[in-house]
Amino acid sequence: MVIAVKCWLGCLSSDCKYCFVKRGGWAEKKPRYDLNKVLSTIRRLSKENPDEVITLHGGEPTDLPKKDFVRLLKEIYKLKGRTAMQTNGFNIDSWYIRQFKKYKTSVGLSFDGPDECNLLRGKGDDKERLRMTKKLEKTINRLIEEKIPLSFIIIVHRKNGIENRGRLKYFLSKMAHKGIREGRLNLCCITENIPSKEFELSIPEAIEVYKDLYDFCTRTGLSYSPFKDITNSLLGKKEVVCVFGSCDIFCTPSIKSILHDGTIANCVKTYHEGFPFMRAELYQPQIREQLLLETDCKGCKWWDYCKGGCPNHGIHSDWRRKDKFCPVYKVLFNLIYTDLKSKSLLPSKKCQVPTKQYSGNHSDGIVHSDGPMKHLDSGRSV
Amino acid sequence: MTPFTRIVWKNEKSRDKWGPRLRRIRRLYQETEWEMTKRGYRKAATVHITFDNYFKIATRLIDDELLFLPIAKSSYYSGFSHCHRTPRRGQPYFIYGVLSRNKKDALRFKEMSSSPEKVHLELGKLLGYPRCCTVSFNQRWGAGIIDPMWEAALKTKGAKLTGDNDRQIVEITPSPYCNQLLRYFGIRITSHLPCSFDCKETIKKGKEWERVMKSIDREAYGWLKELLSLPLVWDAYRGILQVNIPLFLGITTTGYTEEKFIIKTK
Repeated sequence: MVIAVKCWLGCLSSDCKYCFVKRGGWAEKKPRYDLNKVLSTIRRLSKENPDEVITLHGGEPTDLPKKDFVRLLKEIYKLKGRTAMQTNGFNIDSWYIRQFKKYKTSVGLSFDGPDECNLLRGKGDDKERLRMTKKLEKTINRLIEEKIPLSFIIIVHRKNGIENRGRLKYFLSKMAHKGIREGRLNLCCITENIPSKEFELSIPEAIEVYKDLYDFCTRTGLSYSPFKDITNSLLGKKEVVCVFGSCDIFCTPSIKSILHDGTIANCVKTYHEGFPFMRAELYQPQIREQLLLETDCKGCKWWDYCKGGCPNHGIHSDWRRKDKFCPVYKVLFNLIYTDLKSKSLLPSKKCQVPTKQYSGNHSDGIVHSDGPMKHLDSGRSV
Repeated sequence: MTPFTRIVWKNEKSRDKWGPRLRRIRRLYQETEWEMTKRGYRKAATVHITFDNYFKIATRLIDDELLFLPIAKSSYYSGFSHCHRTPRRGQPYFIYGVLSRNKKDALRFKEMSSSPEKVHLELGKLLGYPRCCTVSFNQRWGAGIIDPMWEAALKTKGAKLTGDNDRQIVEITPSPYCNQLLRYFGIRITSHLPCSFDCKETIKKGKEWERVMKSIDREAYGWLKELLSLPLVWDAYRGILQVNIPLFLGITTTGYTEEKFIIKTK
């Protein structure tokens, strides 16, 4: 599990077109957090969960006033001896790099690829967004030069999946040569709050894009999610992303969020109209599991490895349905299963991910706490 | 689906304030079921006996000069269930039965409960339900509708129907006496499923329950009435129900539907 500190769900430095927090109306215009309450919850959760990573999150953590940003880093460093952060990277300059070095920060960067690949991120018109992306690419190089542990969360959509996929792949290769061989390739998911079909890939498109990216990653020795997670799931390993774990949308096992007033909440994807922010006391994955086993996922041979996918991606944006990307995952499961079988890598008897014990976590920062094992996406030691 | 109920609080303030209140409200309702029979407002009530409450109930029966006649064993469920399930051998269970002031009514209730046709009209009469509601319930249950809230909403005056391909939505203003949309969590005034959410007979009955409730715990009754007057969204889909009020989101089981059915109250 990861503890994500979300003092402020807002963001000044970017206006990402697929942001479900902003589009859902949850992004506050101005920060209004109580830092003492947030710090108090950080200390309490750190004591209760000594092995878990605490990551600065949001919104955008670098849009916080610098003194508060440092105070948070300092506290987390005091508790854990290291820090982590998920960021859009647009504000990172020498000052931030100095803090990263001082507080041993692993940086998880939300970046969809070079040039036009990243057009849905940033703000302003396309020209301005391109300019911001160019600057960010320089920042990435600087972070690597300064040996700041770095990994990427890449949202796959029309701009980088269909229109500029070659550039995305070239970028991934370039990063691999610089030591960054792991990260995430998450499908852009449109919900009721983000009605535009402009960004999201259709199912046939997502299948084609993912198959190509899987082939690319396999040939070049890259280890990107979801391919890595599906492989691990089929091999019976515990390091599997939460999407393929047994999620309870009211008590998300992969992440605990600390909100502006110190409240402990769930994964940010759960935030939408009328939904409780506050985390339920008990983790009860069996409700959705039983429902899906009797309905959408009845008889599915990949159930034990998939568990119906992410409840926040449920069909019709409803957690009572299976993940709408199910057809995509099925293709990947078949593909990777066949690959593993051809290499005689599958375990001798069918491995089942235990139903009662949740074993999948994910961190948006560089240290991915996938299950009880921690591994570094960057492959660099921290 | 295995029956369950779950309350997810919206924030700590709601939980800390209303958590203890909910417990008192539930106790009030259970107490009122008993008192309505004892005081002669109805001929019978249904009671569940477990190993935990057996001694308390046995003593109280003597004190209140009431009798309990067991009808069936029911496998244990937490919170709320739409029907009783026969326990398997070795499974924990409770005893479901009838509470009454006299042997004749108790036997009649048991006879009607055990009959293959489950004579709901007669049972409803013994339980003090309005006839119109019992007739509706009989029709709806007979049609396989185990949670007839949507049907009751449609029969409510002023019901506004909207929706699209994927979901049906109805907006109503229910009387708190008729409001059974939170009963899964122990929040209700009357004990029957009304034919509509503005049924005149139910409102009349509701005022009897109100009198008894106030005599037991006036403060808790005030909270109960407050809860039943809050705006609410009842959202049933694929056998799982979400009931959303400003204080919490309640989740439980309901009848299976392929489409989403939503009731919004004002």
